[in-house]
Amino acid sequence: MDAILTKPTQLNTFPEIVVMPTQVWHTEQMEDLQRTAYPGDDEYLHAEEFRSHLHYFPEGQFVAIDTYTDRVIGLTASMRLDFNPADDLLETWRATTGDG
Amino acid sequence: MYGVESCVHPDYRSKGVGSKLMDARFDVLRRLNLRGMIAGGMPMDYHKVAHEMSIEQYMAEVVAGKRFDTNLSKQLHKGFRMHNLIPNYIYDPRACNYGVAILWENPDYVPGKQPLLKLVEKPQQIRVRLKTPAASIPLSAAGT
Repeated sequence: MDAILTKPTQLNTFPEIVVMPTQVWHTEQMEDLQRTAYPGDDEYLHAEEFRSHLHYFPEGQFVAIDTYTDRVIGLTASMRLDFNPADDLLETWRATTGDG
Repeated sequence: MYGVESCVHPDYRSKGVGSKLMDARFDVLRRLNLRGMIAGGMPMDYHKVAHEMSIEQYMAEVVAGKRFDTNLSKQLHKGFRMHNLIPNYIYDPRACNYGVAILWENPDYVPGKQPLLKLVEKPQQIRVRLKTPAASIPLSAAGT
């Protein structure tokens, strides 16, 4: 009975995607996703950097999970930044984020 | 707030997942009463026409809705507006290394207002139809 209750039925055709706040145990899969999303590019974020963002600004981190495969299939990471809209943002991504 | 990174697995693109992730960010700005969010967006399709037009002209057309950019047109549709161009923003031949600073201003921002201290995090669910059943999507080597 438990198996029936916990096994989603329609997900083969309509997988449920859930957007939720990032948890520390997502970070390894997040690094996997970065490699998949940017093949051949080594300027991607690693689990370590995601954990750092999670530590400094937990409210700004989200993942999208396919609940059928239980895999992270989307992510977003943000950080706090004091920015005056009257100015231009001209720094490189590396400079603003401190290499991630 | 600065948008460090957003990405969606190639098999799950064009399903509105990125849009939902962006909504989650906008909610954070509202709840924490932050003024806005700036990010460097990549003009992903610029390389296709870089030989015939400047980045300024390209972006003017994207902003005007006359040209579709796989990445930036979606961000602009989401409510971001173009702020300024960033030469040599990040190494990416598709964008000819250009970045476009895009800004989203929180319409609910009130200067001096205390943010909500207790954050209520409720997972949002969306339903997507995939080309192939999710079960047959190869999982990456690590994990599981």
